[in-house]
Amino acid sequence: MPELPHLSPKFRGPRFERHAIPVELLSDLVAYRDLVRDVAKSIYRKSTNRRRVPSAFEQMFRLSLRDVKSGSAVPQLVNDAWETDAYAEIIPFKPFFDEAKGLVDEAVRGSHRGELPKEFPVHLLGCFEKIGRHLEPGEEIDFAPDTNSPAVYDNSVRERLVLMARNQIEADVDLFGKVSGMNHTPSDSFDLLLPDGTTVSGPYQPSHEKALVQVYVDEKSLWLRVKGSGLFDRQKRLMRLSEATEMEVLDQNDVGLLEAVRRINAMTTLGDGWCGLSSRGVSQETAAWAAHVLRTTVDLGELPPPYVFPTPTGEIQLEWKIEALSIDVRLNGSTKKADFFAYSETNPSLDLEILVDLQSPEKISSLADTIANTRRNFS
Amino acid sequence: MSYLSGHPSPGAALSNHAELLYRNARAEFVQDGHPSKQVFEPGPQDDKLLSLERASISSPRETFERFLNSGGKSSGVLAVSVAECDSAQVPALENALPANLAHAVSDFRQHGNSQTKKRAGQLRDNAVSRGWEHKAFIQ
Repeated sequence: MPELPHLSPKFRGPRFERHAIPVELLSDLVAYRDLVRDVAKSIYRKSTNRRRVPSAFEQMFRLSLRDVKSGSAVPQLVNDAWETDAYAEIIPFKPFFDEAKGLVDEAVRGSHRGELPKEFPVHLLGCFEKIGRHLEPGEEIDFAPDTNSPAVYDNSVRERLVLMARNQIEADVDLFGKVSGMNHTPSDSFDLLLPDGTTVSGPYQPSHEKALVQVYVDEKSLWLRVKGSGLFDRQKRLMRLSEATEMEVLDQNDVGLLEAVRRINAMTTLGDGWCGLSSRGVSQETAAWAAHVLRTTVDLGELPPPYVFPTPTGEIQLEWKIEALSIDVRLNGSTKKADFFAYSETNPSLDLEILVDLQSPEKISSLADTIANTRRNFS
Repeated sequence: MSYLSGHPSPGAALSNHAELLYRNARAEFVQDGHPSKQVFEPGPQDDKLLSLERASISSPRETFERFLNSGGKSSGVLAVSVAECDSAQVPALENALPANLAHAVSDFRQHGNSQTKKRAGQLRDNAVSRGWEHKAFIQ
């Protein structure tokens, strides 16, 4: 059975290290398939001067996910069409799909230079909006792995490609803030006051009303987390929420954890030399991994969120002060290890310094135990 | 270039134990007004000598502006006393520079990495108890 190995994009990032793909990213594969198919149709129409494509053309391209291979995660997309009796009928269309796949790869590569292959149908640039929108910072897809010219795609590439054709882009949002207004006319909508002082508005569903009212009434201690999608302008400013799919009431600890993760992601803007000539910036890989370690540790250890800071050596330092106990965890994204150091202000002889191995999910979970044991022994 | 290769060697211990010593809090080391221990931890290039500025020669505002003029981004200026440096076993030493006569250092050279962090934490806690001597208008 012939396969289309070139339609096996490689997903890289912490979430893919166990050769698995989170289900929310499966819709990205659907969007990728649709883009390649639509580009192929466009090429066909242009080269044959026909307005419509034959029905067999669509049948040529029916992909199934058969397996996920390692490295970090490589979904194996197999073309079911090759197994049908209509094989002979559809094979003439194969070159159009090969060319379409190549054009998509070229568009991804060229986006770094702000260039688009001249054969690429500009009206299809908007299709990139649905590809990669669920990627987190530090994650990427290579659409041309195992070649000499990788086509590496992440959220910045997505933005560049969509904004070549439009002035705004829709993207996933995960926000928290205070509910500053609720309106019923002309339709149900709410205003969310964000921590930076800006306000965004968007529609809500009846099932969200309870959470909205709860936060609206208890404006001092509660916050609202909103997941969904929003429209951003070219300056990456959120103009409005287009859809709210999830709402969750948060307390101060929840907000502290979200804020800590946001700070870690923002640290990737620090370049080398930010703190003296020999200082190093925080890499996307380190930030993504550190955010994962932080979430796991705070959740499992039922800990308050720590203060988070970059270090001049490109690491990320978590600092907890729990009564008289001071705990520092310095996370090294390259070695996947942490320097753990704890001391008590009231008992100077109780210093504890450990190098903690965090190279596997199980070991990451153990960091919460280390902190819990330290709290017990120091109390 | 190491700290010592670019600066004169530290001199005698500062004798006025009540004198305050200013330290800029780099903006990246401050979260919601809370400074990291790293504010008082010598950096990789500092050869375990923490730069400070003497209150008898500089004001908090001058210390702040000097840091900004050197290209740094500061959230404000904190202070520890000479006595607090002695108490944390990181003595304050004279180290005037031609371009900055207020410059002094706190000497961490007798301490390993973990003890350096611990002493930096002590200085940070002392400084936080005292409060900000000068705060940046825009954080």
